[in-house]
Amino acid sequence: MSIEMVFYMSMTLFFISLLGLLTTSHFIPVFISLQLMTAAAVINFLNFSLRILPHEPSVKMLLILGLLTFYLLEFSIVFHIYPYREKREKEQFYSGFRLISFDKSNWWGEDTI
Amino acid sequence: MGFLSDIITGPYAGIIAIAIGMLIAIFAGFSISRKANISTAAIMALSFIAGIYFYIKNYLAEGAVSEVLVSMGSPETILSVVILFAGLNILLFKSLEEISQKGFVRKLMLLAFSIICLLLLIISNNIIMFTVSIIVTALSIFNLLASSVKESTPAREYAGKLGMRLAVPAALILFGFSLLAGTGRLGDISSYAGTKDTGDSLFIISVLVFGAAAYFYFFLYPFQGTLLKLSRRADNGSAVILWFLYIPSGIVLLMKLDAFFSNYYGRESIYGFLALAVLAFLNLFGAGLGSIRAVNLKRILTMFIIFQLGTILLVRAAGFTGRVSAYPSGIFDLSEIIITLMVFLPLSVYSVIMDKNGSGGNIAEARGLLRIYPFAGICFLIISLWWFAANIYLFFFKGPLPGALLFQQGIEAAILYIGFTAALILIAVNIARISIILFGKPIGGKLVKTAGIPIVLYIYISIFALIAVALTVLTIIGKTGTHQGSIELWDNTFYIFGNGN
Repeated sequence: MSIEMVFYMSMTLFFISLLGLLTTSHFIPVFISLQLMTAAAVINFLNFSLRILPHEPSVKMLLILGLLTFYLLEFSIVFHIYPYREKREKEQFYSGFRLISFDKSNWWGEDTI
Repeated sequence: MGFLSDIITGPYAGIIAIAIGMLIAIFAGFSISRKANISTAAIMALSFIAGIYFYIKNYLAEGAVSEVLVSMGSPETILSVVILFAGLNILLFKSLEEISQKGFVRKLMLLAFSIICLLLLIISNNIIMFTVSIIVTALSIFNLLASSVKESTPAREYAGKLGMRLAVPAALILFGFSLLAGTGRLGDISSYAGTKDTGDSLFIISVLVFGAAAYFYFFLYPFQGTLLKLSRRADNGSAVILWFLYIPSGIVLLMKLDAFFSNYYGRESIYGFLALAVLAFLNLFGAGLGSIRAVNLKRILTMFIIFQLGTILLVRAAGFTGRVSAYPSGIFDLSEIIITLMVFLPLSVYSVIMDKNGSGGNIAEARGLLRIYPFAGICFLIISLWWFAANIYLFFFKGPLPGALLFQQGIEAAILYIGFTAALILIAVNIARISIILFGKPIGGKLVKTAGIPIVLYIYISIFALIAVALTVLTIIGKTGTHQGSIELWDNTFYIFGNGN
C-alpha cells in the first residue's frame, strides 16, 4: 500500500472521529471517537516513521510516550467515573455530553442547578 | 558538589525546590491534625517562594539557557514566576477554605504536582517533552479538580465531563505531531518559528489541528458550557484552580504553539482574518451579552475571563491584516496572564465574601453588601476600573495596531477597533450593573447575614488595589509601559521577545 493511501485512511479515520465528537451526546461514543483519533495518529506515526523518517528514533519515542500519557489521562477519567455507584448517577454522567450545546443556560443569563 | 551546583543553577532549580516541598509534605499526607495541615501549607508556600527565587536568580546570573530538552529565556522565566505566584494564591484560597479538612495535604500535593508539570511545559523545547508535558499538565489539573470538588454534588459530574473534554485537545496534539512527522522533519519546537515548510500542505493541516487543540483547551465559545457550569457549581477553592491554573496553562500552550502559528502572522490573508475575527467576536460578545442576566458571581467571572481570552484571538486576527509580526502576540499573551491574575484573583475574593455573608455567590441576594463594607467596595471599583483601563491601554495604545493610526490601517483594523469598543461597552455595562446591585440598598434594609470580612482578605484585596493604582500612576507619568516585544520600567527597556532589532 502506498504512503498516500495509508495517509488518506488515517485522515478518513480522523474525520470520522471528529464527526463523532461533534454530533454525539453520550459518553461512550465520545470515548470511541477519541480512540479513533488516537488510532489515526498512530497510523500516521508508523507510516511516516517507516517511509519518511526511518532512522529517526524521536518519532517512535514520541509515539510511545505520547500514547502512554494519553491513556493515563483516559484511565484517570474512568477512575473518576467508577465510584458513581447509583445507576441514575451514572446515566446522568453518561448523557448530556454534547460538545456544542445550544441550551439557553450555556449562553444566556443564569443556569439552574 | 558539582552535581548539587548543577541542580541549583540549572533550569530545573525551581521545580526541584517544589519537589522537595512535596517530599516533606508526604510525611503529613495522611494526617488529620490541623497543625500538620498548617505546617504543610507553610512548607509548600516556602517551596513556591524558593522556586520564584531560583528562577529569578538563575536568569540574572546565567541569562538564557538552551539544552537538549529545554530552553529558558526571559519569556519562560517570567511565565514560570507568574505561574508560581498563581500557585501561591491558589494555596492561600485553598488554605482559607479547607485547612481543617481531611485530605487537605493530598490536595496540596496535587497542586504542587500540577505546577511542576506546568513549569516543565513552560521550559520544554523538545517535541516529546512538550507533548508529554501538556498531556500530564491536563491530567494533573483534572486530578486536582476532581479531588477538590465535593462528593455527591453537581460539580463532581461536571468535573468528570471537563476531564473527558480535556482528552480531546490531547488527542488533537498527538494527531498534529503525527502529521508533522510527514513533513520529513521533527525538530525542536523553537526550530519551527521561521521555517520554510509553511507551504507544505501537511504542515498547514498540522497547524490547523494545533489551533483547534488550543481553542478547545480554553473551552471558548461555542464549547463554553462545561467550563461555565463547573465554575458555577464548584466551591471557591476549586473555581480558583480553573481560573488561575487551568486558563494560564492554556495561554502557556498557546504561546508554545506560537512557534507554528507565528509563521503566518504578518501575512495578509482575508480568510485567516475573517475566521479569527469571527471567533474573537463570538467570544467577546458571547461573554459580554451572556453575563448581563447572570447573577452568580463565579459564572460572571468565568464569562469575564472568556472575554479576556477573546482579546487574544483578536490580536491573532490582527496578525492576518499583514501589519503584525509574531512579537506583539507574545507580549500580549504575557500581559493577558498578568491581567487575568491581577484582576480576577482579587475579584474572586468577593465570591468568598459573599459565601461568608450568606448569599452563596448570588449578587442579587448580596444587594448592599459593599455599602456595608465600603473599603471592600472601593477596592472592587478600583480593580474593575483598572481592568477596563488595562484593556483600553493594551489594545488601543500599545496593542497590535497602535491607535494613533486608527482608521488609516484599512477596513480590517476598523472592524477590529469598532467591534472591540462595542464589546468593552458591554463589559462596562456589566461592571456598572454589578456595582449598582452591590452598592444598592439591601432588600428589607439588611442582608441575610453579616459575618464580616476576614482581615486576611482585606489585606489581600488592598494589595491588589494598591498595585493597580501604582501601575496606573506610573503608566500615566511614563515610567512603565509595554511595547511591541518589550516592557519599559523606570526608563529601562527589557526586550522579552526578540532583541529589539
